[in-house]
Amino acid sequence: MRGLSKRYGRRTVVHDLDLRIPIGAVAGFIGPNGAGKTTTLRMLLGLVRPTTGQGTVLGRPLTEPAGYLPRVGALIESPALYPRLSARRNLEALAILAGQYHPSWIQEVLDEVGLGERADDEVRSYSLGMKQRLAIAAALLGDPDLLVLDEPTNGLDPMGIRLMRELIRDLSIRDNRPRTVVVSSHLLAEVEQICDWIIVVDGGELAYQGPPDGLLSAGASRVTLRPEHLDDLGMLADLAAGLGLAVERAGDQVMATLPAGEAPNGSATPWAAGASETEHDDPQEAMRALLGGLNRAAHAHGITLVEIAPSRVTLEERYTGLVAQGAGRRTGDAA
Amino acid sequence: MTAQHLTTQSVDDQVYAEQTAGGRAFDDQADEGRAASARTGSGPPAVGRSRSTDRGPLLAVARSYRSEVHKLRRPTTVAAMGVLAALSVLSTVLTFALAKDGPPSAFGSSDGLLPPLPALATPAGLVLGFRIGSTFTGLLLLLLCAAMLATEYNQGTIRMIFMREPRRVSWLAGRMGALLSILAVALVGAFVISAATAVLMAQIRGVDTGQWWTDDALRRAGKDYLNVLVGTTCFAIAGTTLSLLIRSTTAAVLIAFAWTGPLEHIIENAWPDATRYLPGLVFANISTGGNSIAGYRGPLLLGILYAVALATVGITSLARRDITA
Repeated sequence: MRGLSKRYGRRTVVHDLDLRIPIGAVAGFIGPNGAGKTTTLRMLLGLVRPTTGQGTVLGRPLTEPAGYLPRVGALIESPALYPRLSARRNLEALAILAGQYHPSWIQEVLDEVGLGERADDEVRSYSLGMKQRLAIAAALLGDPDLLVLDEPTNGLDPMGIRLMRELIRDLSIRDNRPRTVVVSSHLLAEVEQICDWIIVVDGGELAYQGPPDGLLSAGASRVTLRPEHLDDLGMLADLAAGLGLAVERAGDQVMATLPAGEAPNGSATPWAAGASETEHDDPQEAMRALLGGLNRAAHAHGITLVEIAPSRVTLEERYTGLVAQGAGRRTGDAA
Repeated sequence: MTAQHLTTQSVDDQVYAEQTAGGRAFDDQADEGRAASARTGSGPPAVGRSRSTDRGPLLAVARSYRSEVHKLRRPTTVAAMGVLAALSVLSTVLTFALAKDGPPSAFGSSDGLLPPLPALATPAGLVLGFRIGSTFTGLLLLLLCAAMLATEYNQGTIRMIFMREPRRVSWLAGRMGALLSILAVALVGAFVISAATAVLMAQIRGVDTGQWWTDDALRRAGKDYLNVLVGTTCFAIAGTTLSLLIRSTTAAVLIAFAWTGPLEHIIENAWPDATRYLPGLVFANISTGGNSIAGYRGPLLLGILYAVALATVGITSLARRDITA
């Protein structure tokens, strides 16, 4: 999808979003509340008409949802079901509507989400977690090529969350057929565990999309340094500070951190001096240059390092940083 | 650095979430190595077991019809049909119980709401109670339709529906078809029960039923049934349109009730010709076979015009507005 925007009156909910998801990926769609996640998913599902933008889903234009929705299963926001119908009748009504009705398939999806034994009970007697599982069963009807799940773990107990994680993993590889899953979630640990593609939106704009490694390495801007001799700690800290890094001493270590907003990619930097005069577009390459620069500087001053390692940031830390950057940028723009 | 810069690839070398109709990725190699574990299948993908293909709007109408009938097979539908039958019985009982002596011609005038006893002995007597009660049947349908569709928005089930069937107008056509089919059957039931009640009440009130079973009487009965069906269909369309515009169960029901209940009748009291023009009164006139002020043909034509206009407004709203429920 390219240039996707949605405005309600003067309020822009989604702004110029270029979205791409590889076939067969489990894509995590994350962003703070009001970031435009659900509106984007609604546009994808033909519920909301984009103000501008175009794109294709499963090879069919976004403007013709009838062409691709039969191959899409979706759960958007809270489970919406007929409370006075049984789970089975709910699914039957949807399957008939979609032209995908077969009694054994209904039972299959009910069993898959663990509702096989309660299939004939009225939905109003279900707990929130059971309703959520039924809504997921509804999304699985018709064995879709693209599964869109908006907060699928809402209301689920820990066992239900684990089952959901396994289900999503299983779906993406089942039958040796590429099946794409888009999961919108606030549970970043979950996203980190199951997703191999990450999309971050903030304030209706795209903040990142790509493999999780790209996001995490771009944020791995902290380096731990440990000298052989404790006496060298002070000099090592001064060296790192001299290279433009923020320095903090912790026990027998020095933590050197790039100032906020300066992930180790882009232009040549003081800490890379002596290694290369070229720019480092690849964040991992840039991180190697940083580590090399620090090591050379320490060696030049007679300091032997017994540990030099980039700290692994979590998705949550990286996501928080991105959102904070976005908020800062918007504040600046407003000013 | 802007957040956009963190995107590690250009748009052009990405694989999009696109597949051909057969399910193969447009370019399932380009992204290898970047989304390392993005699972792009190497062989031809298996065909899904139940791919519903895009076969056009008519098939969508048929599927919607079947789906709605499936949903309506529940106790609350039987209860609604029971209420319809009960209204017909009540109307018939009151028609006979409150009938007084008087000239048959008095029935049908503006102040002659209930027929006199001699009018009950005419060929029209068999289903007079059903006919008179049809106004309530129409109001019931108006409220039911307004409530049912608005509830789809309130519950959020409308988005489940449109994620399965994006052809919204086809879905609505199928839904209305299902609803009106069930209405037609329910009205036949109410009609028969009302006739049986009329026979019973005629014996109690000593009304001669000799003219009730003639060809003319049965023809009139058939016409009355059709009038009620057309009138209630118009009410159903009005209720559906209201819910499509308002999208709130409570507000839709309140507006429907207020408009066709007190409001139109207050206007009618101040301006008797309102019965010719106001939609609720026009629909009621179609159901009851017309009256001495408005006649029959006028309300029928105007009622159909109203129904078409309302349906157009409702369909436009459904097709164009976003589903945010």
